[in-house]
Amino acid sequence: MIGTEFKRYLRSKYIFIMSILCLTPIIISYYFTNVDKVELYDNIISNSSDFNLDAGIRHYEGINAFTYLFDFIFSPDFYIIFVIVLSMSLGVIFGGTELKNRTTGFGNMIFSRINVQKGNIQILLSQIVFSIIFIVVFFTIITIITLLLFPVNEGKGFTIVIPMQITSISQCVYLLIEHISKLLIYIVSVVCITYGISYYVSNKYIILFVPLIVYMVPLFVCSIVGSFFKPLGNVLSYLVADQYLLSIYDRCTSRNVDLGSELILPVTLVIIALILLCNYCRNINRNYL
Amino acid sequence: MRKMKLIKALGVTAALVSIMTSTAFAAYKNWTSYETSYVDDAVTSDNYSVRYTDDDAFGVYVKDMTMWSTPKAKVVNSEGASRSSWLSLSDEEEYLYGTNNTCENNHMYYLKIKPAWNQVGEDTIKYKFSVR
Repeated sequence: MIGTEFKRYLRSKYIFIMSILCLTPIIISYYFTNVDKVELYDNIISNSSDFNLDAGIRHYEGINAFTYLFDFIFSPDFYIIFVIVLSMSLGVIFGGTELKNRTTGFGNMIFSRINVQKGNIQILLSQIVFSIIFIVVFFTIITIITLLLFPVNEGKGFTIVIPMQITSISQCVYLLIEHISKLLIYIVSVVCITYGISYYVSNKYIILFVPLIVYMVPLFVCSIVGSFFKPLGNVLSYLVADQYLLSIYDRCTSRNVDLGSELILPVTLVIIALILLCNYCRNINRNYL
Repeated sequence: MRKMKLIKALGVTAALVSIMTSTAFAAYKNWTSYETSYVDDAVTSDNYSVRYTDDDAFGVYVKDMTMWSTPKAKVVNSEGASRSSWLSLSDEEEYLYGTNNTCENNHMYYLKIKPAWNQVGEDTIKYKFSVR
């Protein structure tokens, strides 16, 4: 059944819309990176006395595909918008599935009481597999296209937004893989939470917004609590997705490893997802037929 | 027993490395004094920092900020022309390193700060910086 559900999502018309929406912040980020590149070129030819010409030329020659890519993935402006758009799009594609199945008695899929739980787990697994494949393929295509548009000259230092000495593609690919892994953990947790919570929310429109709620609620709570009691706000800030998703950038710029940023949010999301899914399985078993 | 000693030794080493790293950066002589700015739009610092080294990095230390979003900062000259990449100011009471510094020695530079897209209302930031 995983294959059937996966093919259904693959044939969904929303994939094309989701791809275009996810591509938009990337294109805008690339545009602004190009503006910075043009500004650097103007500084080089301006012959200004307070401009270090050698450093400027070195940085200009080091601009390549990874300059554009890292400006996007390490930007709190564009990357977070991308994550919100991605998670909401997945909410649109998946969000109504569980509610629709439950209210229509699972349609043509005949489950006995003993294997309805197994069937639901397979549906959820197909959603998780689809999310992972979409994100990996999407970033692979983006990386390849960016490498074709802005070729890399190995041997010269790469001009990237994080203060690291990088001279090879493999170092950049390693950072990219680590960054995407964090995104995958976050998105998979959100997909599981959306599936589990849909048992308790019988309104498909509210279910569509669960991924947005998962992102926005910690941000609002942190802002409100932090304005009255800052130490508690600082603690709650670990539940804001930005801290976790951009922890590589924070680690490089502060030269400190903050374990709270790396662990607190994913562990919290996984625990919430497990609790919701266990309750879901227990209730669906008990109440089916 | 041996394992406990090893864990203690690792903990002390990690703490020493963090302190030494932040102390090394903090010891640079050309930090500006603290300045508080309203950040509802892009603002440029009143204080300036003079560059003395060929380091590719520049530093910002945020003492306090009222926004929970992440503003960005970069080094500019007196006319507002860019002299570095943008640095996201995500942490308070932590030395943050920006990169792609194209400042020339013995010249004065300022810090330009712009708010994040999700900043609501007028917020302030108290900071100091060094173009090294």
